Amino acid sequence: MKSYRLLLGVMLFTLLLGACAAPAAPAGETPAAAEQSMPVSAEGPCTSYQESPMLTEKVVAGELPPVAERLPLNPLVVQPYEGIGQYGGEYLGLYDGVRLAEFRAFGYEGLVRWSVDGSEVIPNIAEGWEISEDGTAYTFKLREGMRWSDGELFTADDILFWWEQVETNKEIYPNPYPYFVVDGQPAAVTKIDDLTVEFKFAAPNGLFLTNLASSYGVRVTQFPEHYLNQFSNLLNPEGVAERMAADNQTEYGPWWVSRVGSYGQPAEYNDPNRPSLQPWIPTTPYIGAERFTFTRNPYYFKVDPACNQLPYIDLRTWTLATDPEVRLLKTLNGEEYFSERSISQPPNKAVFFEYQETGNYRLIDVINSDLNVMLVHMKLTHPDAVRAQIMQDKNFRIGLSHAMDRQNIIDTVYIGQGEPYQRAPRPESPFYNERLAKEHTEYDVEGANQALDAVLPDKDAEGFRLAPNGERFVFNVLVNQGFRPDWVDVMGIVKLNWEAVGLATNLVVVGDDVWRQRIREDDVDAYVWAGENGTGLLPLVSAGEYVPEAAWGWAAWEAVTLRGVAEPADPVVEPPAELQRQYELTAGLRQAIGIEAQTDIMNEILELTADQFYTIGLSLPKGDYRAVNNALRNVPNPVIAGWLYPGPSPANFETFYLDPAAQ
Amino acid sequence: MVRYIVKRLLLMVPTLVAISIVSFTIINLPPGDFVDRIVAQRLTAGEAVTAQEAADLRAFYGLDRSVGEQYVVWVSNIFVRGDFGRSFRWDLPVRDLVWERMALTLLLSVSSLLFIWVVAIPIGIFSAVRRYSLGDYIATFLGFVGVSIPNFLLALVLMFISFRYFGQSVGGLFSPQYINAPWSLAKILDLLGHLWIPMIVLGTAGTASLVRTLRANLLDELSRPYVTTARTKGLPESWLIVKYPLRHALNPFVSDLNGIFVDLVSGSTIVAVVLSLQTTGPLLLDALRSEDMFLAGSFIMLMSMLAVVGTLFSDILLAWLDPRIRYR
Amino acid sequence: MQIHNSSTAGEAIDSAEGARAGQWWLVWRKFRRHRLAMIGGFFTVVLYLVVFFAEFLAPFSPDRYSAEYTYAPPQSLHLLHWDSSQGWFSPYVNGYKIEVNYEQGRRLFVVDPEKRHPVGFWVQGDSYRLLGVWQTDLHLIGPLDPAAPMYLLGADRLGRDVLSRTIYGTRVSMSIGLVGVGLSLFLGILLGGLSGYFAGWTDNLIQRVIEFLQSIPSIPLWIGLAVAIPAEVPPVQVYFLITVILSVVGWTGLARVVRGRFFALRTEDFVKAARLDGCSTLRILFRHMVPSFMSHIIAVVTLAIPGMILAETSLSFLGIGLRPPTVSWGVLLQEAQNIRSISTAPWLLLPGLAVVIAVLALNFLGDGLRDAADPYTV
Repeated sequence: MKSYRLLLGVMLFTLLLGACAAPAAPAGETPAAAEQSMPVSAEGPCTSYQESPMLTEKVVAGELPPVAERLPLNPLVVQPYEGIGQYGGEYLGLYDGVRLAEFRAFGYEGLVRWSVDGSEVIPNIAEGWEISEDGTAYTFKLREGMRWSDGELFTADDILFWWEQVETNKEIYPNPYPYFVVDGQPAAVTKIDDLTVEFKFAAPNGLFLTNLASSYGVRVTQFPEHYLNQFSNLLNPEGVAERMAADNQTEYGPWWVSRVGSYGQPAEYNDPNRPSLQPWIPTTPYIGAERFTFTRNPYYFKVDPACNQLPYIDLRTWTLATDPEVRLLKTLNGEEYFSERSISQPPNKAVFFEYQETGNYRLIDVINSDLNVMLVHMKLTHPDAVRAQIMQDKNFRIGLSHAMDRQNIIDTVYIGQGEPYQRAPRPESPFYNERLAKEHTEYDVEGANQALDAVLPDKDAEGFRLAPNGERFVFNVLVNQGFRPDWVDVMGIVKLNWEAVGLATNLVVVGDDVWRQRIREDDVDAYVWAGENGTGLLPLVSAGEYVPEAAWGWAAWEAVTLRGVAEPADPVVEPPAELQRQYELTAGLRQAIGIEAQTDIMNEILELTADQFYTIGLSLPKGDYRAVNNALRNVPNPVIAGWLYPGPSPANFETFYLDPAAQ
Repeated sequence: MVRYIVKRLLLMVPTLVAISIVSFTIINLPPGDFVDRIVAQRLTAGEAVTAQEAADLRAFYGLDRSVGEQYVVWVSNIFVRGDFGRSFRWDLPVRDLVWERMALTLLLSVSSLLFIWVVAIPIGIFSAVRRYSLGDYIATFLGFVGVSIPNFLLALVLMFISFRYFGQSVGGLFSPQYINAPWSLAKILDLLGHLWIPMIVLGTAGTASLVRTLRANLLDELSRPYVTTARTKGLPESWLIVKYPLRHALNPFVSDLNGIFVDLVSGSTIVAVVLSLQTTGPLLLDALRSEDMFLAGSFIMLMSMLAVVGTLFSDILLAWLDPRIRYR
Repeated sequence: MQIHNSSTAGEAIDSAEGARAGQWWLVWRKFRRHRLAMIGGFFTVVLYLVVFFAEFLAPFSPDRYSAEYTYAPPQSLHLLHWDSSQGWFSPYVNGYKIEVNYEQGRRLFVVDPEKRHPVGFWVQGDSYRLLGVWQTDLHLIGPLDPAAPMYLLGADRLGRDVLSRTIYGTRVSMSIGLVGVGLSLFLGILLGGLSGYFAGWTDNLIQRVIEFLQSIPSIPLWIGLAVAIPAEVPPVQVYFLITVILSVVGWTGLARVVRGRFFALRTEDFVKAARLDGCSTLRILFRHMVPSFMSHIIAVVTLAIPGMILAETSLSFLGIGLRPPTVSWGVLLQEAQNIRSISTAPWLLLPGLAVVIAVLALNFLGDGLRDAADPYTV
């Protein structure tokens, strides 16, 4: 078994190398990486490059070097969705006053990235990589001649700066992000040469590359050493002390976060002088501004197949609008060129449809990477032993699932858009498992009654089922109305469905502010939440979600037994054998090297999940859409949306362009 | 009087200390802390936060210390260095955040207050003097429609109308293209085109209650014997009303002045939300909801200071307005 | 002015009769002549009838949903029409032609003049307990075929009848909300009165408490409460609790006003006289001093009513307002508070009208009572 796995690993390693990277591609030749992301490279290698007229002016004025000198020796060639675009224009967006660096709209430039369809990890800032046979060492090759937005070279030193001065600086982050830690051991990051960096782990980290492609991987390439070293307390203690005194601050970590900032922190893009690798860079500080503009990065490293430097769009401007309904009206009015997820929810589609002409936008379809509209998570290790036993009985869960009239709910709340579905990878994912997706989804009152009779056979005069102690059994379900108001409607109908088979149901509807606290209370038996990360390879990086989510006693067992956590958050409860196996498999996923070995394990996990049926699902999300400005071209239709796959950014946002004829 | 004021000033100190301790406790009352809020917020965005990450964040923000310790550190920093702490949510010093927004907030609050008074006082007097006239009925009806419709709903309907029928860019005080533009005639016109929504929202709610209370108070006063006496002495009607009844009818408003002081900071939150204005109201609301302790705590300190000063101010004004009132 | 004049004309008769009549009869006589007050009183009575007989008056149960009729627009009720079995009076509503349009993300409704659903009075429908006692299924109005659509004020997002929901909403809004107003009125007058009447250290203490209450933040309190309320507590009780708390915090404004007034009044002769007569403090406060600014109190109370009726809207984002299935006007307006409803289903705003009617009715009733009880005016 072991040798077989090793062999597979080697095979895969070779495969990966062949497919994704050519570590020492000679300068000027067609880069292998480009071939990867652009199947048909009609033009061949570029001998000269074109640039935006906006930059040509600066080159002529002597403010900028010519475009060929600004690009790396082998720029990343990106295939636009529709065709070669036009330079210029100003892209409008709305800013909710909280976080500009929402990777779905801005800031998705990591070492590697998702392919447009999310099915594989492809090169980005790194032009290639090597993975050691045992999966413990990842070596990334950077692009020669690639530059920050101020013209300085981007090298391995910048990545080392991030690792040493930011990620492992205990005053900023007490621990590095989990992607970079295996078995409690942080990675060792070393510079092999100016263009080569190695991440070495204490044990195999099979999902490292996949994780790095998600939103959180961006942090690696955000820190220009030549500029930020003045803000480091290790490299420039006096200077930092002076600056902190000027800002009346005494603690380094908080001060650094408010002045420099890393992933997801507001200061991240607030300093217009801070060099960046993003397609657009700030021109003024944005915190507190009502409207602000980012301009194109003259040194951006990507080109289209016709040798035009990307991005096509010159300027991006954001306007502050904090209230969601105001943002909706502004979007309807054409002040946001790609509508946000939070306001393009199905209930608003009728409004979006009505004002297409006013707002000069079109509606495109979205593949929601969510795998379910709503999941019911039961507290299978409820502190009350009787309740725990009832919920742990698979018949109870099966009964509740069959009692739900899913089609009626979909018709009422989602005007018929959806498909009865359980917690399972989406049909277009390579991990699709039909048995898991469809089991116990048919509306079958008789079957539901039969299953429930096996658990709670006795009923009172009004037909409600009784708990073993002879009192009416009331099932308390917590619903967050702040996040998805439609859940309140869904659960209102589900309550009627369940009461029809004799299960007294009490809905505890709460707002965003309190639901997380309420979850933990003993008077809640179950709660509902969305099922996320169902497309492409995402089920693989979220395999841990297929264990029962609200069984904290079992989770504590897993933490203690498999991860060596000394003080778990909850009292340990030993899970049944099949769940122990599932926990072990999930932990083993990280040790498995290569997609095939990982797929095998993943499929076993999904089969186990289907056997045990821990979580009840409602419906596969359908009918999602976005409003896209009519002038905005190269937007795939449908486009994938999600978080770990932060769509639409991986759909090559930099190739979007504005067609002046349609504006 | 002077003795009274000094006494009141001295009393402020223990009041403020008590308020600061209790508010800090209350802010911490809801179970969970700012990190829990972050975790919940990220979950709704589709992000997962690991337990380790949450613990790290807690240590970073100093939330692993006891509430008492946090309070002492916070208060001593205020006294020693004038440092009000940091906002967790914005990763910025509280002072920067609050002062940045203070000017606009005061401008908005004071101007809306003036607007309400200028509109409401004449209508209130008219309504009382011409009681049960057509004008009184119209004022009554509009006033109650105004108070009966939730402000936010009213703002939404008006914005929808302005979008749907006038093709205007809603939210904010300017259309996007004018926000950072220099002042010009076109920009002023654009401002006027946007200003009517907040005017109506503020106007209906604020004006209605002022008109009703002023009218009622004047009615109480107009039926008093001294008014009849003045009238028989042949004083002109308008002078008669302004000279005594109006003065007495203003008593309740002066009594309530301290509330207005607090409103200077927290008032017109709805309007600010709708207009995406960078004022303190939405910031405070947000700080309280997300348990951004130092930001919320500093706000409450500021507001209680205003409340206490406002009470004193209103008491002094009360005595000045009505010579029958004497403090000991 | 018209009303004013006519009442002056009747003065002579009034005083002649007044010599024989009791005080309450006089008040009633005066009140009856106050036309608006009578109208206000009439509407108030109607509203309370609705409170008690909501199940009978509403055509449907408030949570009866329908997958087919989500966001159905209001139908008009045709009363007169020739029908061979029923004669001319055979009311009906037209059915809809329904098309589900996925591109538009909505159901499209067109009134179908061919389809007639007969409507009757005193018909059978959803069963309920009248006044909580008698089991019955009679409704004042409803479709003869219980499954036929009848949406006189339109349907909401789940195909529930807006008319029925508004009728049911009256119950909570006109009862619990008013309790809150009453409570804070009482506290405000009592504490403000004591503060202004005694002055000195009593005043000092009460004023510090007011400063304190005005500056402590309420939102964390609500969040704390929302977490602390156990899941089993019924929504109506939660709402009642919230109303009580709102009024316990909300009396401060009125108390300041009452205190200011009392400062001015406490040296007046009639107060001194009452004190020398040996009247108890509470009697002096409530019988002698309060009536001298009754108009102000009525104004404050009527202005507070919409606030209390709608109070749960401002708290519902925390999930501690009213929860389904209980409905109130506040809940209904809250549900309409989005662009989707305003733009494509404006009939969802109709419950706002109910709030306006209730407030106007109570205000005119209050004004009328005040005028009638005031011995100085006519």
